[in-house]
Amino acid sequence: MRQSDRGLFEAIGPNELTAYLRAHGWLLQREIGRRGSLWEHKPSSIEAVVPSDSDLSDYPLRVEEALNALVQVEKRSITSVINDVKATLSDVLRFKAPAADAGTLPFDKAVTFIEECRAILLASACSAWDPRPFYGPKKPHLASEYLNAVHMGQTERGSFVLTALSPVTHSYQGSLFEEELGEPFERTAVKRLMSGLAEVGPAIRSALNTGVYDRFQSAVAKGVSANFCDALATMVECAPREQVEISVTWASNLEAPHAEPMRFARASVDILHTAADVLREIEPAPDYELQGFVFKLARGEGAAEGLVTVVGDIDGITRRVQMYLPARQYNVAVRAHENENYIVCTGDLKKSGRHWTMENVRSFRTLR
Amino acid sequence: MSFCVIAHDLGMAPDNWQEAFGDGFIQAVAGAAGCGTAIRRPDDDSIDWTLYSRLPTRPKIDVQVKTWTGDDGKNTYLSYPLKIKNYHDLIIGNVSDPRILVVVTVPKDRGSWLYCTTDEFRLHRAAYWVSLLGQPATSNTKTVTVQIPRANLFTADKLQELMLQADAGTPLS
Repeated sequence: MRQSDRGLFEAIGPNELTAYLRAHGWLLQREIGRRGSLWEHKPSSIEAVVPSDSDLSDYPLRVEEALNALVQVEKRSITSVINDVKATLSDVLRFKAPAADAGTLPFDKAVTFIEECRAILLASACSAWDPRPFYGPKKPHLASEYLNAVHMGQTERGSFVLTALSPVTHSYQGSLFEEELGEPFERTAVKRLMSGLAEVGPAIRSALNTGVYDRFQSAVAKGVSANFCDALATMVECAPREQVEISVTWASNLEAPHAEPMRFARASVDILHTAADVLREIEPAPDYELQGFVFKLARGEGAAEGLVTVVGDIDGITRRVQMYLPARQYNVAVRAHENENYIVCTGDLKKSGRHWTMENVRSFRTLR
Repeated sequence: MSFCVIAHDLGMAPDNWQEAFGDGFIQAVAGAAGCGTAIRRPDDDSIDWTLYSRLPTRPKIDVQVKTWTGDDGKNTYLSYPLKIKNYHDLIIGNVSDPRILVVVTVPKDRGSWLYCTTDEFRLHRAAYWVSLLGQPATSNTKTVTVQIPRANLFTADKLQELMLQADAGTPLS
């Protein structure tokens, strides 16, 4: 065995192997102590020993032997067997740019494509926790933790295909939705992604035909959010000939829901960005932390409180945000403006058309 | 008796040539014992062959094979200079299947490696096995001299005995 292959075999856990064997018609014969478990493929009488202790020094050798038994039965390369074994306990998402030339993308576009795949996964995980039209910079802890568990998989032949392996080995409850209680959070997040995509298609057609974005609003419960729409639109924009296809192969250790591959093209981009704006307007982003400079101050004669305009960064774009401040906070804003100090404020960020406001400002202070 | 006259050089590197003959030794003994064999190349983890059987616990024995022209056949022990990496890979105990070193002693003259007649097929000269389980680590930088009892002939009946020990989970002896 090459040392370079050792890591490949070490990365396959006993649970993945046994789940794969079970899902592909192998039968457990018996436990064989320190060696692990003995399995048999009845039609061919080929046996496989699955090692149980991944801390043993010869674990990679034993895994290789088990995989070779699978190769014998399935008559395909060990690499493709490994890919499928690794995916057994994971939902495998495929983000595909079908028109990519020889499976390549310009480097910068590939980086953007990957970032937006991450963004749409994060948006779906947020929705799995608490469906909302928009998520500010502070995401639910569970959603961020979920992303740490998702792995980018091996590239696949053909078009440019990014695979994301979302493991479903955890069983903690993470959703607020009763029908999903008990389902691994990771599975809920992926279901929310696919249901969101399924809703977005008809919502785009409706908006194209009528100019009304109501269907996007009613799709929030199914996973659609401003973050979701923006990520999908940007993904399409950086794909060659602006076509993207997203599909899922469900892990074999859980019952698989039905989900068709979804395709999006150039015509959907502007609608998606507009839908994102609409969704941002529906509900303020609560507890949004804005950093920036005081640009403008305005209060009535004799008044202690007043209107402050702060110039700050929202999702990577410089915006002006108006907020009404009571006397004490207004005075802080005055001093910050005079001294050209950087400020940070927290409140509910809201967008109406192109106009941004912050309501219920809970704190306003200078940054040192 | 018909000598095997090695009249030509077919281009194989000398080390590989000797190794190929040693592999033949292993396969012959394993085949005679009724054990399956799986070759492992490259042997980055010091295992050249895995020998296996269908005994109840499906035991395997991992084997590091060395061929050697340096044995004069005289002492009660072979003193084989084993590379440090191989030594450290063979002394470890946290493995699911046991490991042994097999040294196949061969004549310097390739023409004396193999004798074939209508009655017999004889490989020269002999193979010896040893388990290094539990031996101490060493600070040597190149080789460790491993003492292999000349009584430890690696034969088909001995391999069967070792495989039964592996099945029972007892140390190989």
